Amino acid sequence: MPEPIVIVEDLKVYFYTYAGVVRAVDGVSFEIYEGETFCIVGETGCGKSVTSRALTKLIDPPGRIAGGKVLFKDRSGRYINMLELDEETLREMRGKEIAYIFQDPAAALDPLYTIGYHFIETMRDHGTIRSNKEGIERAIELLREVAMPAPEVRVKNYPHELSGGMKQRAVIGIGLSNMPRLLIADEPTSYLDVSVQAQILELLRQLKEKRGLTLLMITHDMGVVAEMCDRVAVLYAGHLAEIGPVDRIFMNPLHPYTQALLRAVPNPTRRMLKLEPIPGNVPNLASPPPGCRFHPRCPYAMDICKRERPKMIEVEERHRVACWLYAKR
Amino acid sequence: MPGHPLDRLSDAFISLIARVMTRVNPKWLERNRYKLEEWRLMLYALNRSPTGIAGLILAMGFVFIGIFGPYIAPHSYDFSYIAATGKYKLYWLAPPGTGGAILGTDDLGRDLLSQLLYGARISLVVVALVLPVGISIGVILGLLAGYYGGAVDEAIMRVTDIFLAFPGLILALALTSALTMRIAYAIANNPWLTSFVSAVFALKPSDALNIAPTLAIIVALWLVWWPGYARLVRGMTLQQKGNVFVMAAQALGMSSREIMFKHILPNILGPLLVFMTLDVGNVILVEAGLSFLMGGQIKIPEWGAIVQHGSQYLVNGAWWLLIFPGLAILLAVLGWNLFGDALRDILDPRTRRSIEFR
Amino acid sequence: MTNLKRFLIRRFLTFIPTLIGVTLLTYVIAFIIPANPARFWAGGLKARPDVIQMIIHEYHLNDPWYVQYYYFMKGILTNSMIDPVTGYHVMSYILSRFPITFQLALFGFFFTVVLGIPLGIISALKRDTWVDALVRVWSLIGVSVPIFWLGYIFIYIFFYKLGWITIAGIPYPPKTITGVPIIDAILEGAWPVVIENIKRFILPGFTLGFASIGVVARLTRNAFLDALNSDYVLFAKARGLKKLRVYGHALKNTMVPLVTVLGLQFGGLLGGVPITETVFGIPGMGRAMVQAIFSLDFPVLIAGTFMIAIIYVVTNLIVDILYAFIDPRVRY
Repeated sequence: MPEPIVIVEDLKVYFYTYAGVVRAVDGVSFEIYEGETFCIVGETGCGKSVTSRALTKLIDPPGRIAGGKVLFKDRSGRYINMLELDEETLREMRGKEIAYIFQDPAAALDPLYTIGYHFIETMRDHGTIRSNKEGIERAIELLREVAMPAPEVRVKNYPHELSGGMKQRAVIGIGLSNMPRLLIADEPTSYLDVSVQAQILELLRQLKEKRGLTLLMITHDMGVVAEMCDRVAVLYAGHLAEIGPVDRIFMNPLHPYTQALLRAVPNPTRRMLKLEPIPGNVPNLASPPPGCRFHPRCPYAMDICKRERPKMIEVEERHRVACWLYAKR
Repeated sequence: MPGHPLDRLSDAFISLIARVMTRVNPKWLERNRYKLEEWRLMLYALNRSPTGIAGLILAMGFVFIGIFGPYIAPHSYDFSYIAATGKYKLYWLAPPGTGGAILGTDDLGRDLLSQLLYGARISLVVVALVLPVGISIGVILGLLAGYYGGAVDEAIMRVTDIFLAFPGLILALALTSALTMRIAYAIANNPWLTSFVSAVFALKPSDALNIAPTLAIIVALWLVWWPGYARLVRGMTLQQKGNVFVMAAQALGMSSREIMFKHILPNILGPLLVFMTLDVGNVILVEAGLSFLMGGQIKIPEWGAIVQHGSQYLVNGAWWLLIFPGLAILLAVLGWNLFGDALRDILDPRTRRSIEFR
Repeated sequence: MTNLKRFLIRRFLTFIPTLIGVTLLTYVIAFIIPANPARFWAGGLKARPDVIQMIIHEYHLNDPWYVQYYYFMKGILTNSMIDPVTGYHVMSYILSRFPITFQLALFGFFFTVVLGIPLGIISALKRDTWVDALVRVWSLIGVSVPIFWLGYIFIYIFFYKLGWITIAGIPYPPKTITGVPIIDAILEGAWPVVIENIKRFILPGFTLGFASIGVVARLTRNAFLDALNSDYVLFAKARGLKKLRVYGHALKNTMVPLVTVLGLQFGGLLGGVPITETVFGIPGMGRAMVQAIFSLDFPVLIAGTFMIAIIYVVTNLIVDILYAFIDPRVRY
């Protein structure tokens, strides 16, 4: 059994806006094991991206990390709390230990600089290379590794000269240039054409195998989850609804929200006659409903759901859920 | 969420609107509840912008004085302490506070405060006449250019470019001096126009002819003001044209005029409103600049002309003739700019969300 | 390079209609002024009929408007037309005053850039603090101040009260190279003349640039904030780039909209020149044109607007070229 590379305990990220305090992530706990692909799923605005950015404190005002711990296992095997690190140490961790890639590769690359320059600056600031010439050589190698066609030409190109899929390959290459151990991919395929999506997912899977990476995938696409993930965390309105191995989540979804989510997309494990949308909307997190945040949309809502927030309960091995339906009382 | 003392005033205002509108049409509230909530949030945001509130107060103060200034002025604009009292030595360039002249007097013993109060009316009338006409021309041309594209666009934008390449102040000044004589002629030959113009500007009918340069400035500004709006509206129309609802309206066979005025125009009204608010200040400023350049040719209590006149007496140390009229212009313009600036933040959903509490 | 050449040729071709339009417009305005220019130029009410006839003949005033316009433009462009009011060659007269106006605009532009950009950056970095609020209010005051008023206040303080500046005459260096006094003085190393020029132009320049400083500060702030909130800055931070390098990305992207606005502001400065020159008694082109309007001196007016329109289109061209240098997405 591998050890966790990241342990998140009771993470809280709040946004202090004029419409009130938005509790975007409100007491979320989970762990990511070394070498696995971990997925966080949920609808838009449920706090997936914020959670992933909070791991290296990539939160700008008016957002603030209001509490909790993020323990990261460094190369010597000790756990360090990321939220207590100083800015410079955090900077060194970002990119070198934990790398990110984002949804829109066209926006992530600075339009005024060449692809090669992006590689060079990333490696320079982490002391991975000594000269720009070395940087270009490494960049070409990395581009070849992410299966970029004609890498010698592409390093000299500007972002707008590349197609969407090629940009995302470049972004992945840049993200991996300092040999990180954890790669956080925030909806890496949602801005891409369907035909390219599968290629990028395949690339991520290969890179993970080859380099022994740990992968954290953020997605709202259950298809991606089924294809890529080992374990899944379902997030709803800043709360963790359910967490467990991917086969258990698909075969035996416990939380009504997970069940609804699976009914809303074609489920690879079941024959389904029709898809059902989830009724209602994600609540406004400035004034979330009390108790379980899903209760206004939940077909099984009971009195207690409106009053008290359910605790995490382990229903089967490694499969936990936060729902009053499973509480033994 | 933390309250703000002005929020209750805003709530009262919103419920007043709701009550009045319900009386007019009982179904109005149901249909516009969402809009009303939006307005409430906008007012809340305004309450949290001290500069916006300050601007609103100054801008409303300008409008108030523009309307009522001539009635609250202690004297008429052409009243002279020297003529009234015969005390030449006391009232020639009398500093502020001298025997009833709160802001002092000029070289003819005229009361500066009264002149400034009458001047506010002139500025207000100029704004009220310049902006609607100038903006209408610009909006219509911009809509046509943006909506139809092609040759229409090309023709309109070429003319717009020519006007934009022209130094605006020189163009307006040349037009003003070209038109003044004609307008004066028209006023002199129309007793009806004489009394109308003097009533609007709150000046004596005997001064009606002296208003001609100001009227010429107004007409000149119509011609100078539209190109900016034409370009702005064209750009926004092009953006809107790509929207789904415009394409849907086209597919439904709506007439172009309906699409332009019922679908595109309402959607660009927000940014347009911000521009108009900021432009109130610009009109005041440009008009003052023109009347400053016309200098001696302006014989009515127009703010820019008062500054120009006063500047000649700086050698005599009469700072008040410079400071107060300039301050009047500054505060009026600043008010509209502060308000417009706050409005821009409030109407832009991106920045509105970031107006934070601390 | 051939692309650049083709682009330049295309742009120069679009200049022509604009320049014709501007001069034609001036011409039309000039001739709706209900006065008899020939009589006025000949000396007003007491003008001798033969002189009036001579002037009508000389300036083709009895010909149709398009013939008149043709002779006006030809006379101005070939510098063969003698101004009926001042007695100078029209184009020489405008060209002798243009460098002064250019120098004034340069001073104004200097303040715009040197104060506006840093203020905007500081404002963005200190976003939503009192510093930001101060810059914001100050820039709004900047666009609200009547510049003639500001100019007189400066004159009152620095000339009447303190006596630090001069407000008469233009100090010229011994030789003329470019025609712009301060540039010539620097080129010739005539430092006392440089200092004299600074003393003469610093206040008019600051007054002229006052509004632009605020405008540029606001734009820099907003563009810089937009850049800081962009995905490429987020990605740069997520890659663990050093702080300076992250700001470098944001700054270079801020330059893109900034270049356009700086170009517009330079044009705007030239527009404000008539007032500033009048207040500070600077014998530049703006003042010449104001005087030309009042003395019905149409040739000077047309030549002056022609010059300003040329500067406007050239500024736009320079902006476009700079744009292509900064932003690789822009192609000629």
